[in-house]
Amino acid sequence: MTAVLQVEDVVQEYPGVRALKGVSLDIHAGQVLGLVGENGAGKSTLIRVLGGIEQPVRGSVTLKGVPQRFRSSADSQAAGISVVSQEFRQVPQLSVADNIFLGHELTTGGVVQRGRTRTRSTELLEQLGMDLEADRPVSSLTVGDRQMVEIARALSRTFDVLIMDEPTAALNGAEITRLHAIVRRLAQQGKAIVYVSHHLEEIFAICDDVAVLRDGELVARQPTSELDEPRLVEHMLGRKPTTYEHVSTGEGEATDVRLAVRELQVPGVAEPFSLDVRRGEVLGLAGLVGSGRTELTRALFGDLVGLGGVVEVDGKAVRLRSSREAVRHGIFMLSEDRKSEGILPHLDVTENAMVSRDRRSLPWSRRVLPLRRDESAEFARLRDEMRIRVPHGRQLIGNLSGGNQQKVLLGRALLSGCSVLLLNEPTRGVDVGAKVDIYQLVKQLADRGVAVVVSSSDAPELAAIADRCVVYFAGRQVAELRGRDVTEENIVGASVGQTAQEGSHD
Amino acid sequence: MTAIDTTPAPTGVANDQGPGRLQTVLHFASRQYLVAVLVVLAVAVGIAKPSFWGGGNIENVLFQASLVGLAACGMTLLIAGGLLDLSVGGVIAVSAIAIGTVLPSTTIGGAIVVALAIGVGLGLVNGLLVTYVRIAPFIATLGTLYLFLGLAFIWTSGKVVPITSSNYRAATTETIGRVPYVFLVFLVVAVAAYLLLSRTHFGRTVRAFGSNERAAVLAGLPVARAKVLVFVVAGLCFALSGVFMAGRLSSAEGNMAMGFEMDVIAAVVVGGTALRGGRGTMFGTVVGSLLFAVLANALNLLGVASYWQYVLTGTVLVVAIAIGARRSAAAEVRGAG
Repeated sequence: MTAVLQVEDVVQEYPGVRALKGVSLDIHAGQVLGLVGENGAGKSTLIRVLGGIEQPVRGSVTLKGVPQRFRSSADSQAAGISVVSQEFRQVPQLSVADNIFLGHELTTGGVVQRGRTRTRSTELLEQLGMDLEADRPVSSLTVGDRQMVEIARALSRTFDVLIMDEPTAALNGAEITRLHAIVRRLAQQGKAIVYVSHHLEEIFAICDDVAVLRDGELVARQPTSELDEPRLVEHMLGRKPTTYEHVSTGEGEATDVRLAVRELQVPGVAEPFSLDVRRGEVLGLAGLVGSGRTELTRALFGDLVGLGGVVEVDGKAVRLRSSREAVRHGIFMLSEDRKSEGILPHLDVTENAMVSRDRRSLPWSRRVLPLRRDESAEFARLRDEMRIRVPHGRQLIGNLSGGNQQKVLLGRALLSGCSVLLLNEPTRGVDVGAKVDIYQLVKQLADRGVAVVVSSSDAPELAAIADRCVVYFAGRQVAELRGRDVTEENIVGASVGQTAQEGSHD
Repeated sequence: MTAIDTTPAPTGVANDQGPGRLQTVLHFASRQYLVAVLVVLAVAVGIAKPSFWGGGNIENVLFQASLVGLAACGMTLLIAGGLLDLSVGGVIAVSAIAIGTVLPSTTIGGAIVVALAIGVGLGLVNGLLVTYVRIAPFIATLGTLYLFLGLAFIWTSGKVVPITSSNYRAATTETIGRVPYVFLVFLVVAVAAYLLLSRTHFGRTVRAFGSNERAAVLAGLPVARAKVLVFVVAGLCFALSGVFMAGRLSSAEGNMAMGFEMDVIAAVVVGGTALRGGRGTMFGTVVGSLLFAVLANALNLLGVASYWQYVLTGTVLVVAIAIGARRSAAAEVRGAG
């Protein structure tokens, strides 16, 4: 059997970085190949090369026996490679149908055929099991729906090879199941599929083969059936994974409440919130989209102004009219959207970590002016402590992988000297290795006495790190799980509205 | 097929604190292609017209570069913060007219203080409009440009205000050797602005919101305050330019600096500060200001017809920015954008 797509000895370099160090890979028709690796391993680069967005320094790409030199993404698409990219490339003002056919519009004599565009789009969406009006502007869609539009867009072209870069990152359980069925069907139709995911259970569920990239090299290529999850992770990390063992702090030990919320009325959420978080405790907030937990963290950070109720930090009532005020009162939040609400892309990692630093305890000289030497030393300390993989402190943060960016932001939170830390989806877009590091860092922060609130849609994550977990459904607290009851099953059960009776101790 | 390799790869994390001093210098030098352009241009013009280096000409060039450059320092701070100020011409006119008006009855120092205070006041107006009334900087300062110009014309009834004090003229146009005093002031202001932007908490805040305003707000930075303040500092720079311009022209009037904002923005952008904010290069601004002054002077010396001067100046602007864009695109494949 000859391969549909053959990649041979592809090398790609960026200034100072060798992103791909000679990768060779082939994919057969009807095969689903899982492509895994830590962030920064070179997956995205390989995809950009195959998609024609980047031209490799060396190496060749052969498609159906014909050597290819893609000069642009249009070349790659014309040759038969379709890519579902991780980041949406949509025009928010255009309709769903127009976005699906963006770049290859159905036209007669240069005029777009609106009718055909709409019917074809509706067909494609139905294939994906989506009940979505083709005329709606993309800007009105949820992230999950936009992801589906992106997939429909890839399917709307004729292709032999489909590359899916973390297609399920924004999808819910039912949507994921549907997508997996589609992937299998496409494979049966003889398409070759490259499937990139951080969720290893997905890889085992749908992939025939799995290829592992590490530091720009292909380190393993095996049938999925010969692997199990620990071995795959070992390939990815190049070492035995350090598993995160959750040790729950005994209840009632440390009893001082650091954050107390009483009847906090949040705009857009029907019922008021009340909760307590103790010193050293990690409180999980669970619930589906629309449960109000995101709004709650925003309100606690002064980003949404609460309409009534009381918030106390260390026993003192605080007014939260802006984020700046919240930071001053010892509350810090990291957004789930690292790229648009977290990193300062033009600033280097040191400055990114230092921006929120609490200067009140510093000597006068360093309070007025930031001193380079002092800050580099501080960053070097953070880098070692948090295992941030960055060559030097003057690296721009935009060039780091998601996990390392998140570590820098956690460093920012740490230096803010906060007593309450609100984390939204702390490991979204973060690879397995960094995930464990981040869990450990969260735990360390809690051990130092910070009251940590983790809002996450990832139930296993909450089960791993939360001492206590509050589950919301449509703005109402439906369960409070403690200690041993904080399990994936209980969280998921309560989130979808089942009464997790065995879990609630109130 | 089995595993190809499972030996742990080196982490690739170097232990140095930064990219080495020599490397930093080389990296900096390699980006300053504009300096080379400036030197080549100056040498070439010097050969073609030796009078370029002679007599009062070089003082003239430096004077012109300094007037644009002083304002451009303030503009660089604004642009690094993703902001813009089009009211330069208005601020210069009002502050210069103030000098002409108060000078007969005050000292030179007093008049300059009044002018700078006006610069601060008008900058404050711009800053408050952009920050608290939330008007886009482009529109807000376009509005205040007309507002300030109108103010200037009404104040003078459209007449020219002569600056009669010969002491003031002497003080502002004096040279040390062949270097005009204003050029030294410009260099001092540029260094101060550089330090302000890169080595203070205020400057960091400006770059932070220029880079990503949402993220800066959520990091708890004093974004609103810094925004107002950066307009105030810029207003101060514009007024300082006005102080010297008034001395140079021996007069002040409403349209003395009409269209000046475009020269200023051009100098900043050619210098390498991108309009989308996040960072700014003061050194580039100095070079950019000099480049335009040398170019204008060279075209005059070479006797190029004034219409063609526009064409050539425009071409230089576009080419310089195009080269800058290419270079930065090559340098930051995965950069911030």
